[in-house]
Amino acid sequence: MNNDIKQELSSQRFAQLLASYGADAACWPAAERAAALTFLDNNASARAKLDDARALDQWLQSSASQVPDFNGLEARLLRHKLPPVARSAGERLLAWLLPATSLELRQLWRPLAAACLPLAIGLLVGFRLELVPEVYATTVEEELYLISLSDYAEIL
Amino acid sequence: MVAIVAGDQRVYADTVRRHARPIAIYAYRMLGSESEAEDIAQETFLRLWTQATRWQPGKAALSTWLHRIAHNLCIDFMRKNKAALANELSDDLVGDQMSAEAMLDNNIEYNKLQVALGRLPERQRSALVLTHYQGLSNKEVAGILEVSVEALESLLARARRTLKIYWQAASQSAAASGGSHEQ
Repeated sequence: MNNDIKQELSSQRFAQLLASYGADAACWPAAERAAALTFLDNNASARAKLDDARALDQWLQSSASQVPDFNGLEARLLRHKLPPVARSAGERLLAWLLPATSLELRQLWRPLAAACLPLAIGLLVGFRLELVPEVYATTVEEELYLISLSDYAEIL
Repeated sequence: MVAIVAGDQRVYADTVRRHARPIAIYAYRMLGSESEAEDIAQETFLRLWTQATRWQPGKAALSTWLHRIAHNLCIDFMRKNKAALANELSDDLVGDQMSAEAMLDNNIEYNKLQVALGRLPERQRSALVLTHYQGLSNKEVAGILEVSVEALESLLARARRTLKIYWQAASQSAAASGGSHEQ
């Protein structure tokens, strides 16, 4: 029974493959190609369905070579002047952080840059903000003034 | 690609030489017009130059990404020029070319096929062209159309079903005209 169900499912899937991708096995999903070919070998009705799908494929293929050859296309495309690439401040920062290197280097550099970013921000904040408490340095005149005030307080 | 992001025009030129023709052919099959196809190819490579940072190598091959740009441009173009395109397809592909007396049989077949393709809904046409003619895998095409593989298979099956009706009609009319010639 299980085998029958499996056969039926395979048959259904094979019909779906033909309906979607046509008769050319090269167009079938790579993961299912071998199984579909095996199914085809063991099933006469599948071969009949394949022939039916092939007729439509041949019609589709009749136009395969009937496209313009686009002679000189590349030269025409390259003749156009390329515009300067305008990048926003964010993109420029990203480009600076993530330089144009090979993929392998970028994979190493990106986590490093990401890890260093909080440190860089901390340093920046530290330098910008005056976190050191203000020193109340007093001049000689100010000290004399303060002493005189305290003397005055004692008299009172 | 890294070099294109950095503004290297030589690498850009190499990329154009390698990928321009398949992109133009894809656009031609979608739009049925050589000049429009060339415009789409031009715009696709302009976007490659200006938006190269958007390409994610882990997600899609460069050719797939370029097809995706071209696909979106074709869809935009078709939506903006729906009426004009319908006329162009019937005039250029059927009228002008079929009026030539020395036309070969396979050209007639080709024209019928182009008209049939042109009548498919945009997404079905795109799915069929990308899979059947551009040789992309089902996962790549699903990525370009932003659908699941199952949804892609459904689009393909519907496209082929519709084309089969056109093909059968074309075969019957060819047989009928062959028969009338014999009489």
